[in-house]
Amino acid sequence: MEILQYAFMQRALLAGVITGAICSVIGVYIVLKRLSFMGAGISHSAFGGVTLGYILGVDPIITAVLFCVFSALGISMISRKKIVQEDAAIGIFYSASMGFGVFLIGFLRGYNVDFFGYLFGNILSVTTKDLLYMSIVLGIVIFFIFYYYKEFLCLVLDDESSAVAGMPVVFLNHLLIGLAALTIVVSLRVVGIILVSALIVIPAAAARYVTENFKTLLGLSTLIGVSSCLIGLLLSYFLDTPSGATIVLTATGIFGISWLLGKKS
Amino acid sequence: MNTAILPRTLIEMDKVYFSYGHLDVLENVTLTVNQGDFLALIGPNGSGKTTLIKIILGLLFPQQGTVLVFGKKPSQLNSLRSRIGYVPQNNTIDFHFPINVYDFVMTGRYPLIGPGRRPGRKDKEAAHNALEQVNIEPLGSMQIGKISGGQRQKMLIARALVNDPSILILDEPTTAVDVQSSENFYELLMKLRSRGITILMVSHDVGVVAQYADRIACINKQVIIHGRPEEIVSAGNLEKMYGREAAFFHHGVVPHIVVSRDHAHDAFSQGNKQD
Repeated sequence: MEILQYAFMQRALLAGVITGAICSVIGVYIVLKRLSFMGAGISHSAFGGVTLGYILGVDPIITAVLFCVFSALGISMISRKKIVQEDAAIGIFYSASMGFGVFLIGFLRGYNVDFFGYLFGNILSVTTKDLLYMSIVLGIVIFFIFYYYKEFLCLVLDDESSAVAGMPVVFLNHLLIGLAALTIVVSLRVVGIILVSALIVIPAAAARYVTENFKTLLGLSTLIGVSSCLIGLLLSYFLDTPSGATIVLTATGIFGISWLLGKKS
Repeated sequence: MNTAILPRTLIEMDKVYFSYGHLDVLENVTLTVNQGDFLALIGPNGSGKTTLIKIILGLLFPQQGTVLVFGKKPSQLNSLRSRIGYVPQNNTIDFHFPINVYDFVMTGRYPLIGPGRRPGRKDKEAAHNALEQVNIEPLGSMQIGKISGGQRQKMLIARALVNDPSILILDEPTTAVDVQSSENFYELLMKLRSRGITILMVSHDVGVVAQYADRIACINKQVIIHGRPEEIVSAGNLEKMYGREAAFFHHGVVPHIVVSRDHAHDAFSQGNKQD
């Protein structure tokens, strides 16, 4: 295939495989723990981090990670302490961080920053450094998912009984949310702040219709995540459409097929 | 079962107070559970029964008073935690979860196995034994939502039994379970008790519980009375706990139905039909 000769396309395909895999693996836990809105909340918080990075002249990925992890832990802490309900906590962090980001943009006049790319993703602009970040997060996610396989399963199945039995559920919950935050930040290049939560939620939600086995769910969700990214990327190349949006729409299409298959069986 | 190292008093609560913000939930609660007891905690909705067991389980911390489980603070139980078998209210479980009955019961072993390890032969044997004890071993490969309400109940008990506990703590275990399954469930509890397992159970079903438990504690913020079932039902204790609007139908020594006066007539005529 001729398109594989372009270096930017090779990087894009690799980025698609990695982000498709990590988003959809973390997505299984996020969906089963009913934290889908939390995913959206964390990703939107990244915007404040990205703009702050440009203002301070540091790598925006670093500041975005800090913002996402801070928001994720903040949301989880203030809702656990019952200061406000979790959905309200997410609403506060997410809009405050977006607001902060837009506020800072005012100070960046004259800079040529691709904010549209951060919001909606531009997989063709992925750099080698982005790929390095993605690979590191892939390694971290795979390590923890394997090492704490049983523990994460208990956390999402029945956290209360697991706590009674001596599982460190607060630590596991923070770890899961921290992994979600890392995953979201490195995936921003591919699908963007607005669309990344779709790549987390849709593959797991689609896979749930066709399996009743947890391990199969993990595998199938990953397969759907990776193929959505690859098929979406190729479609966007040939149709000349925005890559992030095409990937998310592809995943949505697979979700529809999976729903129909699940209904039949 | 190895109960040698445990003290005779498994649970001891002394002058315990608990509140959520300004809402007082428990006041001056003193309660003990000894080895071999079958103690039922009864009380109306919102009376603090569930809060009380969450304090025993170390999920909530009282503002005042002392709680000792196996002679230790609930937060310092460490490996003794596996001696507690906890059966939560069944509405806390998502029965659509992609897991089968055997794997669900196995998750009860996971805290003992530790991270990075797979269940070994002993763990697999324990899971099979637990399923066998509650008579649902043939259902092991079924997804947890595809079994009946009574079977789900047994599955939750099997998970609690998987570490061979000294005490079973059950929170409203017969909610959403039909009468026949509920009877089977109590027979199972009596069987487990005859093997030396201590039972602490929260229920709102006064009549049924009184037939099986050997002690009942009536809770409504405070422990209103604590004693043998036949002592509890006399002298208007239930009226004190549930309020004057409740009505009680006596069947032998224990009251059978607790309903508000508005529904008393209906319930009574239904009861007569069944008789």
